[in-house]
Amino acid sequence: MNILHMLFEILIFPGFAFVLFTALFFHWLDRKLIARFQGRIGPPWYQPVADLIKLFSKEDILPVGTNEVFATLLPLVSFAFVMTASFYLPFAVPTTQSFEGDIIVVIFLLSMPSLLYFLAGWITSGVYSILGGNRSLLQYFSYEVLFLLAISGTVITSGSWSLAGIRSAQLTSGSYFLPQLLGFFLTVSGLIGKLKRDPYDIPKAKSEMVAGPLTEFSGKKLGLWQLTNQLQTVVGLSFLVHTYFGGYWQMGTVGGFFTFYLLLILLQCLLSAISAIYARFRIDQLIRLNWYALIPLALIHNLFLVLK
Amino acid sequence: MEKNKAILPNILTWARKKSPWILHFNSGGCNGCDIELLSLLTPSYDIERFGILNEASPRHADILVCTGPVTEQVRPRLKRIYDQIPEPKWVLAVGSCSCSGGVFSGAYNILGGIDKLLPVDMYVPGCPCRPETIIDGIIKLVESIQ
Amino acid sequence: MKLRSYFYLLPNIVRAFFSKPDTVNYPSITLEVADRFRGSVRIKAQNCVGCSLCVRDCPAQALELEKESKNSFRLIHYRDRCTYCGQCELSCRFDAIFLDNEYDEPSSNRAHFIVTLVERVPEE
Repeated sequence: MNILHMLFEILIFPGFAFVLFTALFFHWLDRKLIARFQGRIGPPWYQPVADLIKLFSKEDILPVGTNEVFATLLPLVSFAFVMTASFYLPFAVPTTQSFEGDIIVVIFLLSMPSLLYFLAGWITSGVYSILGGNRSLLQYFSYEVLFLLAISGTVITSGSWSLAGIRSAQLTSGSYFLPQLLGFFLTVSGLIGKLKRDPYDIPKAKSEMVAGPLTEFSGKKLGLWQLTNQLQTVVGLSFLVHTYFGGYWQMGTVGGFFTFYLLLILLQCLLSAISAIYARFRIDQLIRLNWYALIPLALIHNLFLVLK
Repeated sequence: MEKNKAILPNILTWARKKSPWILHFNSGGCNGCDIELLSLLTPSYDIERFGILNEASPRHADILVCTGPVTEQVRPRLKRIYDQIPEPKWVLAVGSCSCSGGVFSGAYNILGGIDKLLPVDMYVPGCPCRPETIIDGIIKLVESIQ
Repeated sequence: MKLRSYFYLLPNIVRAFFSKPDTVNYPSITLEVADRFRGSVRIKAQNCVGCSLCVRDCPAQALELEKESKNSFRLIHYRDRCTYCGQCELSCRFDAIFLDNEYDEPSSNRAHFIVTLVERVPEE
């Protein structure tokens, strides 16, 4: 009975199937919201499912000279990384035991897909994919530092390196969202870089780079890469909810779940609005912005929190 | 068992009908049809409501939307781009030039029509085509998918 | 003010989000076409005399006249070659050929684009 229950938690709710469903739903929400922000109608609700089924049923081709084993493994491994990260960010019921330092594990798991993304560009050896891979690595060195610095603001205040510790600290002191508004926005900026969304979509800029590192991928592999990105969005957003809003609230299982979901939707609205408003940065602008403005800001913010 | 066999192809057909991603390629035309085609992405036409995305890489696309009479210089490139699209794939010829060569037909440096090089599934006449006609063409093509 | 330029789109997207979309739902609602739009080539068959003025002037060679005698001819229009320039309408001296307001439909078969505009056979 206990094993069955565990299996149910891992495979269906709040594990594998549910997280996948949420990722697809948020992908649709994102596209619909951007369409509505631009005055368009947008895709129907079944769009991500249709895209996924179509991509998985398409022919799989790779350029000559590509290491086929690597090309197959990279999307699978990055999908596995993000999926593992999702188990540490419980929606309503914790699936895995929280331990001291799991926030570092989640940050590591969330940053691995970006490295694999670079590798994907490198092994397919197209001009666009190599250039896109280089750019994604350059971008990696700016936003990743910012993300870690900004998120450590919550760690400093709560005095705990675990998600459960941050959550329980917020239950007593109130959520960190308003007192650390600056830190929150810096984290969102780092997260957008992680997700390669619109102002920071330099590696996969459609108008100049075709599709960046994913140019040579097709069929199932492309579907997996896209699914990874959608999952990463949801996991990153729920990471924000856990660190800045205190995770699921103490309102019973159902109430906690709904507040969690509502917060996720609100954060998705924020991300979509940012995507709709801002145009893409140039790579040098992005690095200058991050290293000259946002990272010093995050450091000063952290210093301020430590002194307080 | 018989029923299960029928369900899977049905789902595949449904998915293919609902998410046709297009790749836009100009094979040496005057850009008139290209401007009309790109106006489909604007809010007033918004082809994303049919699930259509304008993809930049041929490996992501399903439908090759080709404009222009195929010039001799672009001919090998067009063939290569067509070969790079994974199966199942379709070709939509947009504009009089790509249907038959149009005003350029008989010129020494053009092939005159995409169907001399690739199997075309749908022809859209017009010089340039109206955006409505291109939408009609894509919808007709998508409906013919089996 | 430079800071303003970072936020000036914000009211726009809020307005767009809360108002009706600008999209015209095309297949269910047909769009209006301007009066001067040059659409399909049509003909008033009784006016045509088979003089081949339109055929001579057509820049895309989209018109073809199969003439056997004065009273027996066939005017064929190739829609896939037509540039809809309106030269045939200007060239016609008998007010027969003209351009309509409707546009041609797409088709999967090029044979559908070959339209016989006038077919005149001598009466027995």
